[in-house]
Amino acid sequence: MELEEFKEMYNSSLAGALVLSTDLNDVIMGKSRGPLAKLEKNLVQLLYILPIFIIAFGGIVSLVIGFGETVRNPVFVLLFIIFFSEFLFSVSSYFTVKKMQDNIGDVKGALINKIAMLKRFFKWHLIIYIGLFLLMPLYLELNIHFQFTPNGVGKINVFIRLAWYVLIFFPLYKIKQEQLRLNFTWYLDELNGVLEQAE
Amino acid sequence: MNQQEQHTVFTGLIREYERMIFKVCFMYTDNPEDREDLYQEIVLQAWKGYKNFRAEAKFSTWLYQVSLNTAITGFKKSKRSPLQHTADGGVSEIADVNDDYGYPAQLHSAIAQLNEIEKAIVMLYLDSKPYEEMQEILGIATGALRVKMTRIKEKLRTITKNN
Repeated sequence: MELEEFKEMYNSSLAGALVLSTDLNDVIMGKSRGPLAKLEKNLVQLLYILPIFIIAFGGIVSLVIGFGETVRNPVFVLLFIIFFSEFLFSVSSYFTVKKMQDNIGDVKGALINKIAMLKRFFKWHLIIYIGLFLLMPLYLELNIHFQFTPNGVGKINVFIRLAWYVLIFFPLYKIKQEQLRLNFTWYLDELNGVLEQAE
Repeated sequence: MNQQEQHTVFTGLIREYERMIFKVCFMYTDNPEDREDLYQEIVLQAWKGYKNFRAEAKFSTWLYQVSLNTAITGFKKSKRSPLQHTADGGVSEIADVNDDYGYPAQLHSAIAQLNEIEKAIVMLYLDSKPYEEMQEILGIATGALRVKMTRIKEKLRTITKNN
C-alpha cells in the first residue's frame, strides 16, 4: 500500500473518536506523571537528607560530646562531606530535570538542548565527586597527622591506609555511578539515539 | 490577559486542536492507557509553556512542537506493545488495536516499525503540512526532510508488501 492511500485512510479516521472523558481543568491543575516528573519528586526527597542528618545526628552527638567536639569529630565531618556532596548532587540534578521538562522549541533543537544540558550536568557531577574523593582521604590524613599520631594510629602503614580508603571509596563511587546510570545515563543514550535519527 | 482569561482561551484552543494531539498519541503509543496518559501529559506541558507562547507563531505549529517533544523525549513508553517485532524486522502479529477509533490497524502496524523521527515526519506529511512548516516543527532542513520522506515511502512500501 502506498503512503498516498494511507493519507486518505488517515484523514477519514479518528473523525468521531474524540469523546474525551478527561476534564481539561483537572489535567491543567494536575501534576505531570511523566518519568522526569517522578525523578524530580525523588530528588526533592533527597534534598531533605542533609538537613535531617545535621539536625538529628549532629544534634544528638553535640548533646553527648559537646558542639565543639562534634565539628572536629572525623566521623561527623566525613559524613557531613558525603551528605553535603549528595545535597549538591541532588540540587544540580533537580534543576537539570526541571529544565529538561521544558518541551518548547523545534524537536531537533530541544533534543540538542537536552543533551547539552545532561552533558553539563555529568561534567559538574564529575567535578563534585572527584573533589569529594580527594577531600575525604586528605582530611583523614591530616586528622591522623595532627590528632592521632601521638596515640600511635598515625603509624599505620601507608599501604594499609590506602587499601582502607579504596575499600571505602570504591563502593561509594560504584553506588553513585549506578545511581547516575539509573536516573540519567539511559535518558542521555535515548536522546542521542533520537538525535541520530534526526541527522 | 489575566490567569482566568488565559485559562479560558487555552482550553478553547485545546478543544479546537485536540484531534491533532490525538494523532500524536496514536502515533506514539499502543494502548488506551498510555494514550490517555500521553494526552494528559501533552496538555499539561502545553499549559506550562502557554504563558510564553507568542502569537507571531502559528498555534498549531507550536502545539505540534510541544506534543512531539513530549511524546519523543518526555514520555516513557510502556512495554505493553501489542505488536511483536520479529528478528527480521517484521511483525508477527498485527494487532487490531484501534478498531474502536476507526484508525486503520494496517497503517498503525506499518508506522509502528518506523523510528521516532520518521513517525513524526509521516504524521506531518499525512496531515498535509508543507515542508517549510515541517522544518519549523522538527528543526530539520527541508532538503533533508525530502530525502527522509523518500526513504520512508520505500520503507513503508516494503513493510506493507511483507505483511
